[in-house]
Amino acid sequence: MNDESNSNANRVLQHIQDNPGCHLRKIKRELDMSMGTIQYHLILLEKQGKVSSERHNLHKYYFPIGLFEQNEKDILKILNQETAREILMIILEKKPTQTDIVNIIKISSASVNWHIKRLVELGLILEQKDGKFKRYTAGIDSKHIVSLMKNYHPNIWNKWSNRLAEMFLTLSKEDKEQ
Amino acid sequence: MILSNVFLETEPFGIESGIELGIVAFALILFALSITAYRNTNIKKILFAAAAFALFAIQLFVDSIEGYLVSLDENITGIILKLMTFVILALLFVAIVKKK
Repeated sequence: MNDESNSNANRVLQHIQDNPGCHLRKIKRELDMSMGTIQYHLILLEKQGKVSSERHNLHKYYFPIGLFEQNEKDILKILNQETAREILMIILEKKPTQTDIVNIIKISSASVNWHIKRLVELGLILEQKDGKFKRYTAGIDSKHIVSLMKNYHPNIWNKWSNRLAEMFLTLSKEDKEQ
Repeated sequence: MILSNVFLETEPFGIESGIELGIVAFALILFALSITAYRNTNIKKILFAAAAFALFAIQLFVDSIEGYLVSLDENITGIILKLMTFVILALLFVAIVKKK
């Protein structure tokens, strides 16, 4: 690989590291490189194990390897959910308790509890004891979470399906006990 | 034979048929949404709701072709349709009360 090609590969890799979850057209727009060049480097970077990709709706999204320690696919599923994203945003803004989150997004505590449990399990948020309460903070670099949420967002179908799931969580008593 | 009867004897597309088609479409959309919700969340109880929506669409279909099913007794189809309604409500009930 010559110097120019190396430099292009590094630019693409750097862009993905700075913007996890970006897709081909966005990389092209922001790096002002030809589509063919970017595709070539993306294939190479994937083969070298430096980036991974995930197809979702019409786009293929790229992530730097090592951003998520595990459960990458589950984390992406979470980012498809409107409520989980709202909870993440609140957690990034301040260190809320579960009650704070319920009061802000105004959905049932059972539903908030269910989402928080999943976010903690995947390491996206951390639980900290504060006297009688538990407070939540970001589990990975907040800059990455914001970038992921900006780049990887749910479509209208996923929003609706998420609302259907919320409805069943709210109607059920299951998660209040967890 | 039965299917050809359905096509031959179908009345011109009226308001009633339009509404029925709309109901079936909504039931199918809700069914597909439930499947997506299950795949995203892995909450098993949503599958019961999905089954209820699918059964609802089937029930409407059976109801709309009831008149053309000459081989079936009217009482039997009536019982089948009522049983379907019962199962739909039972599935929705289970979806709500099921713990895990």
